Amino acid sequence: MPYVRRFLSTTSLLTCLLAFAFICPKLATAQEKRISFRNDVRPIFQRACFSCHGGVKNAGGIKLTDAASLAEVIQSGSPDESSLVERIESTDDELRMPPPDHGHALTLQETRTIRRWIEEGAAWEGHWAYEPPISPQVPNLSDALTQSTPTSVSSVTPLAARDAIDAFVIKRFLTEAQHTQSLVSSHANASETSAWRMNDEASPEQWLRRAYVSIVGELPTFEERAHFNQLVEQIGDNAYERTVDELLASPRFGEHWATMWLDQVRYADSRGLGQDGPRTVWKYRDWVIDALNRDMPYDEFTRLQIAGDLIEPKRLESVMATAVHRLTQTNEEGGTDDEEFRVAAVIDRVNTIWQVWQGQTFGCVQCHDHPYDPYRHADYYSFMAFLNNTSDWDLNEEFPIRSVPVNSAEYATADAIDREIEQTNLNKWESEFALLTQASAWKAPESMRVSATKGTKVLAEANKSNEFYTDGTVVRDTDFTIDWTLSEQTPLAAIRVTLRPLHPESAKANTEVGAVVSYLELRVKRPDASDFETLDLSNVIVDEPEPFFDPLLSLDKRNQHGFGAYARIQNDRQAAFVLSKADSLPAGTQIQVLMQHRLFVLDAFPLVPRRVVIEYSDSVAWHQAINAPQLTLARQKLKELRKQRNQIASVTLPVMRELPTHLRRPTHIFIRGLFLTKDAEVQPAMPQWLLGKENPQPTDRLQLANWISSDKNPLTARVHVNRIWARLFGRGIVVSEEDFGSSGDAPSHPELLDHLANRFQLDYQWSQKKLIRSIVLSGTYRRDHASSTIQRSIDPDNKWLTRGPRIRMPAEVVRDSALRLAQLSDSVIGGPPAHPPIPQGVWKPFQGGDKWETPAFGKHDRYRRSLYTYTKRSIPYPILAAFDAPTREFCTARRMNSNTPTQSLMTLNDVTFVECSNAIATLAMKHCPEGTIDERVVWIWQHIIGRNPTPSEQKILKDYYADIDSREEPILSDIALMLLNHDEFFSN
Amino acid sequence: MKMHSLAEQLVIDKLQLETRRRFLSECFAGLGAVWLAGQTLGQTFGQANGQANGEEHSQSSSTLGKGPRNAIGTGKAKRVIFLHMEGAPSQLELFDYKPELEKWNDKECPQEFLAGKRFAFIQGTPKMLGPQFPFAQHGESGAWVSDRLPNFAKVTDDVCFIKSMQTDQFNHGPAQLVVHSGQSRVGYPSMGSWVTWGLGSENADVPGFMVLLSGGRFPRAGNSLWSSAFLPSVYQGVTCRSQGEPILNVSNPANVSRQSRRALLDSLEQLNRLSNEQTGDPETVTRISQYEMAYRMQVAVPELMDISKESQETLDLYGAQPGKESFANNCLLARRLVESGVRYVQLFDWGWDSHGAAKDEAINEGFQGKCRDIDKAMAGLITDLKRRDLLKDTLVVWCGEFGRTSMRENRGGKVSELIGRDHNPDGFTLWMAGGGVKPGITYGATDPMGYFAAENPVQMRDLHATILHLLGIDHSKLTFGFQGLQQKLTGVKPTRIITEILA
Repeated sequence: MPYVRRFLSTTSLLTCLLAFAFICPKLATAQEKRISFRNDVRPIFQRACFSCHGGVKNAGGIKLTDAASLAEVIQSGSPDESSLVERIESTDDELRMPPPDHGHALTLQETRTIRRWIEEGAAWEGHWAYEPPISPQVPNLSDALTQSTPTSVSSVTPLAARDAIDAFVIKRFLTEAQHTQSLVSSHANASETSAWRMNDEASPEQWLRRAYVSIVGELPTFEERAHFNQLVEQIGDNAYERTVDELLASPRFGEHWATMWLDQVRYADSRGLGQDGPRTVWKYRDWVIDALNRDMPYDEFTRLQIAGDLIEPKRLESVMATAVHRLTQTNEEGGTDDEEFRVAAVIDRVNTIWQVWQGQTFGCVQCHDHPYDPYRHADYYSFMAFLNNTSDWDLNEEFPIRSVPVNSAEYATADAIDREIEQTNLNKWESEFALLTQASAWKAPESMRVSATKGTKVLAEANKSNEFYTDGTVVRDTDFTIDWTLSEQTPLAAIRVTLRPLHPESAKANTEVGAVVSYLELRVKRPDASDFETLDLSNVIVDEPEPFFDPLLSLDKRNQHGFGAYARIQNDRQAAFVLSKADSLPAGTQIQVLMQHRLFVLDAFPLVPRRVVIEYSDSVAWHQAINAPQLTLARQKLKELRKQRNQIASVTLPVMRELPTHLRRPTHIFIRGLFLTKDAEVQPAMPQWLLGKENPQPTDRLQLANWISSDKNPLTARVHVNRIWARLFGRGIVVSEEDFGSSGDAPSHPELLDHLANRFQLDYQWSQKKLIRSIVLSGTYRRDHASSTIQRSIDPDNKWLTRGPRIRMPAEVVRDSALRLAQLSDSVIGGPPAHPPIPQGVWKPFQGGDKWETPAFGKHDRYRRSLYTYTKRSIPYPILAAFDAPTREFCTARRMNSNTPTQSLMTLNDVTFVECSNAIATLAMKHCPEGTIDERVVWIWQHIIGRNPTPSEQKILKDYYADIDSREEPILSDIALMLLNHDEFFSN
Repeated sequence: MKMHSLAEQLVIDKLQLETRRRFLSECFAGLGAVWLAGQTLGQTFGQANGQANGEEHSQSSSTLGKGPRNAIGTGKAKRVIFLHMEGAPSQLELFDYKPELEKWNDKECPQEFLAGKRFAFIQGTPKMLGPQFPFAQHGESGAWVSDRLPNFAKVTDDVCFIKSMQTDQFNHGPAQLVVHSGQSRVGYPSMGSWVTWGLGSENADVPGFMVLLSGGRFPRAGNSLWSSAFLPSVYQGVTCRSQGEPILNVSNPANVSRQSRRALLDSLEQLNRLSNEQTGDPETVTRISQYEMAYRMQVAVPELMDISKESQETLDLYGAQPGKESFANNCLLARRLVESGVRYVQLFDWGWDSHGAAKDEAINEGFQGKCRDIDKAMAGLITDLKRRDLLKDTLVVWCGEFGRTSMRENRGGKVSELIGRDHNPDGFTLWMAGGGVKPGITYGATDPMGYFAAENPVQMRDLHATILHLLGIDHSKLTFGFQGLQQKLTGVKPTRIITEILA
């Protein structure tokens, strides 16, 4: 808060007066407590020293973020012999730390703290969040009462603890109130401070609104409110529990909480960067909704998303979860390097996993050691190695993709077929691959002639009779013709083509433009023949089980696709083109292989091979093996299974798929984070200090997922519990939800956080619904949200939870509530992205063909819940953007609420709100058929605002329409519009 | 964030309370400028010199920004008009005259130009391409301008050319992001957002950061080019539309008169005040003021956008025609906006990606039409700002996201009849005028082939630092904590203010 600090310096008189008041008690209490490195010393270093003596600059080789390095500048027990003390206390500008041009000297109090800490033994403490949460004892409030405090519990908090949560919160508040009281007792406003108290419980209807917004993301209707009020009268407190259980069971729960999750994992229906074309990935969004509605335990939810494709058996829904990693941006712009953007996507996956599940700013380590936490530069790339071996490659087709039934009722059937296909294919391919790579089966032509069309130059590789490469510019649509003559009679079984990178060694780290054989033809000219004849090729055997394109397309002249390295090449790629009959050819026969290459990607890259090896097989036995009955049978079976699978109407979903072992990529450290400058190769690993000594290193993505979702991980449960808390209270126990590192905010209620983390993972077995249930039923959540002047003055952000949360509803809830109160929203769960009304001129996509077609007025799907709105990153939907919905390029840990005139224009003038207010007016007429206008206006008020209007409010409304000379319905529409713009409408 | 000690916190809270009380009273007194009022009232200043009479047009009222105060000093420039030619125009056909390149025309590109380079479209060894249009020197400064920009050639004595610009991206999307946000990835605030966050707005009735699109295609990176990213969303650029409503939903729905809207807002305000008495939430007060602001915008914005009120002489000066979607109209609009106190205007033109892959962009075809579109408008803008005495404190910047190669493009290894050049991030031209920049000079130079910035290379981050400096902002102190880092527009690499071009 730089502003406040400046203000303080200009009001020095006031500061002095108050300083006297607070330093004295501080000193008095200081005698009792040891100085804590974590709480007292480190914050001083953080403010004044880390920018130079942290992980980034490491100035003078001194890194105060590191225990060993710090030990070099202090002498435990002897502040006077510690060079650090000497430097911070120095009056010589040349010596003083921090240097004058970097900031002011440490205050007297700060240097005293450091001195005392050194005197007391200079004990180092690691950061709290890296130690496992130990379940703290629930405070006993009656103990707190008996402590010598000038304030009794009952005088400051009218509620007893309903839940352990309340005990922690009340205890924390009492401590805080006691401090505040003692601090200001000598000060004029003491009486004001003693009035700092916790609020009473909110009225049932205030709680009801809050609970609806929190759990299902919509406001309750008139009827729901009436029903609840009645229920409270009948069964009292049980009404709350019953309502919460009903809301948690509603499918609206999953929709609402999915939005929170989709912010974290940067879900969008477009590809981002470059052209931002549409991406079909909504089946992932529906997977999230379904998982939340089924209350899938958060550990499983985590494991499936990080590595669902590696869990056996490979269930369709587990693989679907991995689409989370495919929400990264793709660059479709012409002339872009697919390796560059593949790497950018992997980096985003690394950062997102750390951010979402671990609350760590691991992205910092991409370029250098972490400025504040013990992560090393190399740790980044060791972690990246877990994620660097999937087959996706920034391709416009989004490969690899999974076909997912449109109707989820068909998941099981499709899954069964898919698994059979996969198993059959894998068995078949393993036999084929063994034959493809059987060294003894392949021979090199003794000498070979190669020619190329379009002016592409080819050269023979020295000392290799059967390898050639291109020189200089490779022109698109190049054809290669390769010729050789048989010196003896030979049965020809197959031709093996190896596509190699131009520079095979360097390509492993620095990939090259790929190559695809669009068409391959095999011709022979027998010694006695005058012309070439074309031999029939029946099969193409390749080196991967699930190629992006069917290799058989290489035999189809009309199609540009086929076997190859699409669209980059890193390792040698092989295919055998098998003759339908292994005919014997006489000596002197001229063999000719014609290879055509027609693919040209991103308007820039001809997928023409740069280096090729040609071999042939003369083994009849090999030919028999590749056509063995069990393989032929498998091929036939696959054909039938695929046909069967195609009967199920499906959409595509990009997913994760590991590369086969022989095609795996090495992972290197990037110097300064740049993918073009590579350093040493690294193996997958987690920072061992975080893992804990006793836990083994994960070696692949699945083991990594297991570690992240394990009870032993110190961060996962804390981060998620805090996230849920923040959605319910508008403020996390750790405010910096995105940063649980040492530069993040300290928890306001550390014991409560750990208590909840333990409860979540152990008692509730990671059930999010149980956690939410216990919080919304707690006394803390149930408090009234009104704030007194004294509360706002002592605690403007409600850090100490003396009042219930009053927060501006998220964008989606604002819009969905209006639509729900107007009964305009559709209740279908899931489905393709929706295109609700959008103001003219907003939809101008860079690519044509991405149409925005809104269903007509009156159609049930004109308005769907906001989370279904087509989320195009470059053109956010106006209402949602105005109310701070993020554009989802990267993980958004928490939203920052704004309060702007753009919002006002939106809710006053946008067609959605106009249609909602008209519909609410019609409902009012229907609801009170015999009523007067006054009664109908009151109904609208109750429907939208969720309480009864006070007499003064009623008068304002009456005065408004008293003078209007109009039919009743337009007046009611106006009133509805006015109330949809009321501040209470926007607040939970 | 550093934790304050309890006692310290208490003092701060007291002071905040004082600030808030003052803010509340000001708000209810006349609802001055709170366009930029934020969430954390501890940081709210209210208006600096607002009128307290609730007059509909409070042109003189202004808002302060929220950026760190120690970053803000005084600068010669008060506002910026940033003209971005999307697609990257060829410096070799407009400003960077290279007779040596002419001699190399149609010869094979020397290998030293290709070693270690990555191109978007050029394959293998391309041919060199000489300047396609005649050049001449103009004005007292003797600036070189090609014959495609005859009107602009007349104002070059007011212009400062930088001929040694460099960027580190060679694809449009990422490079455009670098121009506006300093980063090649989406998700960082635009310069306009940083500037309005730092300086606030001079007119409370209109947004401080406005974006004008000249029809045609939407820029690739779209809204990300004027996004406030992690800065509060009030600082994002507001796009003005040349068709339909000038700002989204600024008009009342059909059949709603201004009088009846006023009545509705009056009742709404009373209701919100009553509600605030109960809840005490300061956000309610902010909301009340935002509705007032919205109401005033409804009049101010359409008036401002209406260029038909300009004299015929002025329209002719720009080549503007009311009702059309054009770069010329937007240049005129930009002048109207800065005149009314808009802090930052970002203006996009499109269609400058001259690869020679299609007729509408080839240098020997569509490019020439694009030159005609901008020539008069750019010259008109400078002339008009100057005669209204606005040029002295309005900074005009013109650039593409990179330059174009000295080689002719041979996409897919082929040469077409259409003439084009590929993307070149290593050397290109930018010009600035007004706002404390030295007029009539040229800074930096490319090599004789016009390919690399050979003399005084300037990075985009240097340009950003210089623009902020001209506005009186210290780029190293305008920071915002996000993802564990004090983020700034100029990033973490070494940055230099180009002092040589400061007047």
